[in-house]
Amino acid sequence: MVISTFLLLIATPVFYWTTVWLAVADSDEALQLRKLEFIQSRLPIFTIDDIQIWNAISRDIQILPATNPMIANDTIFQQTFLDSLEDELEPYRVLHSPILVSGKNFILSVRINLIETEDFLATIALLFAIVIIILLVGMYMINLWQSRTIWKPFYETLGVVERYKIDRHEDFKRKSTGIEEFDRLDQAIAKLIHENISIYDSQREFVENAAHELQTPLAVIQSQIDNMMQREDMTEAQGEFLSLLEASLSRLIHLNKNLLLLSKLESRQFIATGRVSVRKALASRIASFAEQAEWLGIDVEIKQGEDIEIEANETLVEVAISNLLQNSIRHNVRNGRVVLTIANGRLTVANTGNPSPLQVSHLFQRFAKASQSQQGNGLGLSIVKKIADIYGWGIDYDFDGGMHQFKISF
Amino acid sequence: MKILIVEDEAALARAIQSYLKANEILCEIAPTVESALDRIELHDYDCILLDLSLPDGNGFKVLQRLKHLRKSDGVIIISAKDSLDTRIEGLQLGADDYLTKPFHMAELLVRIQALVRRKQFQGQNIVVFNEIAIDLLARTVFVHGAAINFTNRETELLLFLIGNNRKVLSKGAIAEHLSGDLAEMMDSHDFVYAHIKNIKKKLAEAGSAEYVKTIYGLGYKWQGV
Repeated sequence: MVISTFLLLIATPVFYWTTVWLAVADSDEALQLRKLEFIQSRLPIFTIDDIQIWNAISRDIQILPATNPMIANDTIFQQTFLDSLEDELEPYRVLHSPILVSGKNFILSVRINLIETEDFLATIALLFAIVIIILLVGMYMINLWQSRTIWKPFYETLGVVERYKIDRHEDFKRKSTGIEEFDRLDQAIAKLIHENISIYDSQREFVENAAHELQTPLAVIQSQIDNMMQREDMTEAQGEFLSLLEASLSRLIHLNKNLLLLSKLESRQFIATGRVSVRKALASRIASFAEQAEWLGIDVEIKQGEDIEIEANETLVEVAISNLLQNSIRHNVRNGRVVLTIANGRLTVANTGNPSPLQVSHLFQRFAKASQSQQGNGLGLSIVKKIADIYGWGIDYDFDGGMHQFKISF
Repeated sequence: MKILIVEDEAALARAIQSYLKANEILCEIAPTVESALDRIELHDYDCILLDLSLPDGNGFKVLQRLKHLRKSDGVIIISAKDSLDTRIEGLQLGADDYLTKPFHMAELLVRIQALVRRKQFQGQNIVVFNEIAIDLLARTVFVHGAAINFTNRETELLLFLIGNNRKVLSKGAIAEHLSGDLAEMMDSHDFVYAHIKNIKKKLAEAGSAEYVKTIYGLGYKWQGV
């Protein structure tokens, strides 16, 4: 398309100048013919006395007095003359040829008006330009039509690939397009995706199985520690070791539970859904949360707008809310503030804390810890994100008025 | 009290057995579905602790047999599985409670006690410990017959302590019992300490004996006679 436009644009002036050149050559030939005709039919009977009369009658063929030095050969050149009829300068092609009249040197001047040729050329050029424009527009339309129809299956495939998300567990399926290349492309993509899904699934299953298998040994350790604590002969120092052991075990257990939950979320094992009121889900968590906040001197404010009713798994809604609440305390400061807002289809958890905004890019990734806080395992927000993804909720982070704000748009 | 532990993990079964033994709870262990079925046909238990993944099958079979035999033994499922589906299926098959592994022994003990209370005493709703009485329905605490002003949380903690009479309880176990998952993030030491302090103070003001002992380095203990 670009090349053809380029070629056509170059061809137009070339065509024009070639035509002009041809026209001029044609005029020159005509001049020669007229000269020959004059020399053959008029000159033999011409006398010097006839020159004045001839010049007065003839317009385009004149006998001019010899110049000094006398021209030796025919010369052709372009010259403009004033046209007395239209009162404008017009281009002429002029031939000067040396002749002898009654033995004396004279110059025969023959001229041809080029104006008709130029008009003619201009018309041709205009026609040519119109043809070119029609051609270009036509080519553009054809190209457009081609890419719309011939490439249609390709763009459909592209769209499916662009929207594809591996954790949605959709198989890539396309019906035959009837075009071999596209069918092959679809098959190759389907194969690639299928392999990726099975790798993804086995990874997920591995995490789930590993976390699941860990539960029993963790239970054994926990039960042994609980028993060991009961020993009467335990010294205080031994007790402290045991406490440290138990605290670490507790972290391990929670980490493992969160890993299990994440892998379950990824395999979409929470099918049971029902109508869930966000206000009720928040209320179910608020009691113990408020108590914890109170211990840390954190002021909790609840702004209740219109309640939000959603179609979801109740446990998951509670987990998401609970995780956000935990974060709002965990990353808070002493005597800080937490503001919970339900309004306009959106739950906002805002809290004071570190006075600079968090790095949004890593916020929802697993094991991404925003602060140096020892608590937390870095899975809380990625679980919230996962739950939001499952139900298609939006989750945003904002830093406004010195408060970290997490918003779920249901 | 007699309990059957259906659990294939020997170390865990023995640990439960040894923890409960001190509370005059007699435990028998059945490591397979087969042996569990034999035992429930021959004996009655106050409570059965039932693991679901057993070497020779699913623990649900034990629940089905109990139903079939029209036995009313209380059942607490102890499983590493904590999916909602398993939970619901277990409860529908007649289990009374569901405890996800891993769990604290203290938590298990109070769950057993609550279950036995519901089953055997026809939902008797008063827990008595010497001069202290707790009305479970009204959530009221009495000392020498006089009601004391306990918050819900404090009542819950008192029940947990009394249930684990003469057991050392770690702060972690107490925090987890009180606030579940939220316990993880809390500075549980301060949190538990504050609650314990309140309980001690309120009980002392009401003229109760000093039962709560601090075990340095570990936690707390309800030291009753």
